[in-house]
Amino acid sequence: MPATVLAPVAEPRRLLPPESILPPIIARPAANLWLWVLPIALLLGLNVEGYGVVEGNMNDTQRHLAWLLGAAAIANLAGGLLMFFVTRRLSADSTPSAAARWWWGVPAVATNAAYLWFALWANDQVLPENVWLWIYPLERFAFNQLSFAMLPLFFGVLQIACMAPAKHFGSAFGTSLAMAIGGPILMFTVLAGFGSFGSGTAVAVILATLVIATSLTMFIGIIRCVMLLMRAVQGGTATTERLLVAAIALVLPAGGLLLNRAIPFPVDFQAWEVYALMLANAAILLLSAWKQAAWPRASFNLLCATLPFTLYFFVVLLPYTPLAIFAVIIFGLGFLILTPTLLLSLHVYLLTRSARALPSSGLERTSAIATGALCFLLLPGLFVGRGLADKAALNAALDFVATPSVQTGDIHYTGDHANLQRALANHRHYKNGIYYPLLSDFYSWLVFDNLVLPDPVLARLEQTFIGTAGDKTNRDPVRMPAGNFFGHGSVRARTLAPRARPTSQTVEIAELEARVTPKTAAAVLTLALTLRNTGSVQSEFRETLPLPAGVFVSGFRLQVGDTLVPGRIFEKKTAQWVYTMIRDSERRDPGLLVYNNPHELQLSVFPVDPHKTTKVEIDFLVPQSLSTEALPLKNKNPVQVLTAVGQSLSPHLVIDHGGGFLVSGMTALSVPAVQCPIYLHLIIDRSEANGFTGDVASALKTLAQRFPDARSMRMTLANYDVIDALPSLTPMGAAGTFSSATLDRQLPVRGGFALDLALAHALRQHRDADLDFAHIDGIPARPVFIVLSRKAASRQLNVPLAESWAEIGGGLEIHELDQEMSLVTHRTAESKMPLVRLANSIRPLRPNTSLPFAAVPAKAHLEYWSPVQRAWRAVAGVDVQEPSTAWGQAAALAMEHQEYTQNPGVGREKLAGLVHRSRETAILLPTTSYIVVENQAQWRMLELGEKQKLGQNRALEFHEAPAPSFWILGGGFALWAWARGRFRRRGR
Amino acid sequence: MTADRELHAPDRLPRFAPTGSFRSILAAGIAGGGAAALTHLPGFDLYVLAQGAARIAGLLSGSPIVPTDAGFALPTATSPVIITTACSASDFCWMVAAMIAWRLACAGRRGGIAIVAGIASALPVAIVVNALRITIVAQAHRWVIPRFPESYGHFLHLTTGVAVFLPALVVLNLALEYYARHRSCSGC
Repeated sequence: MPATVLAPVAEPRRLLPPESILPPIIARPAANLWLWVLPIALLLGLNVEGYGVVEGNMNDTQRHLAWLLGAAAIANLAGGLLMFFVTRRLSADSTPSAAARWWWGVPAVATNAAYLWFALWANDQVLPENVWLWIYPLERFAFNQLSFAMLPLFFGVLQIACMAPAKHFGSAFGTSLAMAIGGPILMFTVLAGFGSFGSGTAVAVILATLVIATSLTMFIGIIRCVMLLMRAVQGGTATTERLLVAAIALVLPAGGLLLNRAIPFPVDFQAWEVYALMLANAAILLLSAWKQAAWPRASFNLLCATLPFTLYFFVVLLPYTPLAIFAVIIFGLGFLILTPTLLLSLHVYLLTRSARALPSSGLERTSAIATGALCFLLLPGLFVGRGLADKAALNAALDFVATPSVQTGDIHYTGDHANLQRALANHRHYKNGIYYPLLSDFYSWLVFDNLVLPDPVLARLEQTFIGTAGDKTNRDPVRMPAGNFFGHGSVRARTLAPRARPTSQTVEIAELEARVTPKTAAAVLTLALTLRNTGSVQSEFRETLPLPAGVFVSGFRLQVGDTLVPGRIFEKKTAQWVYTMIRDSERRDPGLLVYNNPHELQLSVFPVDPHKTTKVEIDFLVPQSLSTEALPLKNKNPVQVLTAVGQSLSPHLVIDHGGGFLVSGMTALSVPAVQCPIYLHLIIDRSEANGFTGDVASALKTLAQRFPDARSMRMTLANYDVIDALPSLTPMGAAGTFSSATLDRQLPVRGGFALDLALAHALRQHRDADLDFAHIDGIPARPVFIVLSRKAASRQLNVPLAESWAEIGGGLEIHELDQEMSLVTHRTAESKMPLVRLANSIRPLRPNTSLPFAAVPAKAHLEYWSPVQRAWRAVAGVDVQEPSTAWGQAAALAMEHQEYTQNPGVGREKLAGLVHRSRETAILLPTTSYIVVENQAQWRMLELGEKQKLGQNRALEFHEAPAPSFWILGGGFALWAWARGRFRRRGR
Repeated sequence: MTADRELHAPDRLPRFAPTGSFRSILAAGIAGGGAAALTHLPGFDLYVLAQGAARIAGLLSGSPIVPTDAGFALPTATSPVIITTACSASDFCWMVAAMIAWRLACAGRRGGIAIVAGIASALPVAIVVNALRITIVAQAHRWVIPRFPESYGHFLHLTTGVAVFLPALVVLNLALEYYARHRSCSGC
């Protein structure tokens, strides 16, 4: 291409040669690689990934069509590569003129129009119907094809549109305008008269051909008009150019955004940032047109800085451009859908002109282009930087709150509090804000690996670290109050989550059978439930089943068709999500068995067809032999059967390397209850909203009067951090003085109040210091928790973590004392309970519980405290199981899970490890589920969902990351230096 | 003025010291050796290099740092990793120190300054690049490595490390070379 140096706007203009109409970067052969081969390669990758998900559900015809589609994409890819080599060869031989080069765009247009035609025609035929609803929706498939194949198509259109213009501007512009207007008119005329042509395949083919042909004609006409205008105004006055720039950069986008207020297509863009960026972009484009000669470098940098904005809207609306012709016909103003295309053309044109005006000397030009590249990365960099900062802060906070480490010593949030406040505000804005296509998805992927941070969890984070939870009010001044035209306004809609649909509950148990399979030192009880729907519509069966301590679920089967399909173990939340998706979207055959709490199971089966039966089988691993005759099967009530199993269980003990595990049996051991002494554990609230700022000494005096039996105390300060003020048991009178200044120094008033964490921390202190490694002959005191706050009030305490520790301490007794010295009781606990001891580990004993003990010698004996003899005495009647038996292994796994529940941050096994072990042993845990689904794609979605869930915030195993050694690096570097030297010598 | 003009005349440009001069090689050797000795101080590689890299990688991956017996774990990174002394990139650190000292000496800096600057700047460079490597390795463990047979794991892991460190060395070398040339050209 001959060198063309554009004259600055202020100088006298001359008509430019035809080549200048096409941006040089697009005219190069390499553009085929970036704008054709790369998008199609990405599309091919996405299609292959989708094929991997749905392939199991395809029939032979669909599989054949999928292969044909794959072959078409490969042919498309090959076409791009071929065009690259052909055009490179042609360019190498001689510089082709614009007149000879316009046909370079034809293969891109023809190939991609044909590919899109084929892909959209095959859309509903290639995908199995049972994946349409949520696994792989038709819209997603079509969007992928359009997003990626439209780019090379547009590339071809641009090349054709920029063909060498006629000598006279008037005739060239007139022809182009006729094409732009003629396309929609022709289409409208044909559509208006189409009713009389009837229907059928031939008509459909003609119609599709016409849509493609008229759309292409319109596009080529519009783009050519813009390019010709741009070229012409260079020869005209500066005012003409500025008016044109103002029209394309300001009037059309503003019009598009205003139209978007009425018709939020494809999504609602009504946010102040969009308007602000649109105005800034328009100002920069105008500035460039006005001052490009005076400030070439500033103009170039500013244009680079806002190019991502223009590019973003172009990419977002590109897949919808085939609809432009219909938009023009139906809405009239629908041509505004083409605004991003026009804006990009203008932006690239001005940028190219600015680049040409840059200093031509090598180094200066290189430095100018490098600065331009940095400016281009400014907006994406800010977005990514903000996302990464949010990710770091939110994940650290999420770990701190959702999977806390209940450790000894002080517990500090290690992240930066100010940064977290900003990230929480950002995330709240994102959740309450609008959905930006691609950007919101990218943010969601970057920050949470596509998982959604539920509102209650976000509120909990805000409450913990800020003190108050945010709300759903959107404070954007330009935000539309109504939802989106196309229904993508909420996270639920974006993630294709269906609304919960009430299901009929007319299923009853028609038959109940029990089978017992003896095992070594245990038995497997199988309950077979035949379910019958007595209603007239599809119905769901939901039943809660009691699970006695020491009984584990070891199998689950559901009848699908005529066969009993064995359930598989998956992470609980993933399985619940898939079950809900299938129940509410597909209404097909899922079955789910999960824990509601450690003593209760939830069985769900859906659907049971009206007046039909289906069968479910559940296996229970029981630590002793059973007889079916002793079970109450007549009432067909599995609850009664399981209660009877629990009542027949005697206490069982297993000791492995991790510690002892005692299952107490439903009626517990017949050992005497003991009146335990108490000590007070003060937790001083240091939160911003309700922090205690009064006199601690006065509070202690009041407490001494209210709790005269308490002889000693511990003290903890807590907001979102937890600080040990008095970690050891200290006599009540020797607590010392805690002035307000001392409290401020130890833990300033700020943030929220992590009561759950503070209680769990206190219970761990009690376990470690008082219950385990107890070398005393007497009995330990139990804690009574006193929360010191500014204002005490009766309220529901949500302390799940502390509750998981409570069994070790014999219950939770919590009172709250405020600065006015009024005492509110939140919870009380039994003051008398039996105590048992395994080696030096003491636990209060209650019926139907599983008690973990500290690591003890394998031959340790269980003892109880005799209040009469005031001594520890051996317990009789405990069945000791070997850890190698099936039940012993299940008990060890349950003990590990209990540890994980109590200390999710530093548990011996994290969630993924537990899921893995649960799957290996087939033992259901409270964090796993047994699920049966109907088809291969659903199993695949379960696997992908679980991988995503477990990979996000939990660990299966740690990878060490050793660095490469000197020898490898040194060798590589030497090789590079040698190759570089050789290359240089050749160059000389 | 005349002398300045002569100094800047294209045919009188002072050549910067040849890359293989004894002085620059000696500076590189001392800086490399010094950095290597530093990394062999008890706990230096774990508590300075590994911990520093772990903290930055934690920032990048949004994971807290959990000290363990072996090193520093990033439990909630994309794929959980543990950074031990083997991951501290001490080899890379002393290579960087040697390279910086070598290039500075070539550019005419005094030997002592080149050595001190080499060692001092090698530490942050090594920590930052290593953090980048750890972050990328974590991503590779999540997205790439599981797609290959398990036996390829170690090789792919190592390749990922080389793919970060080697370009970093090359870029650093080019930047220092540019600096040396620029400095010589401007007559510093």
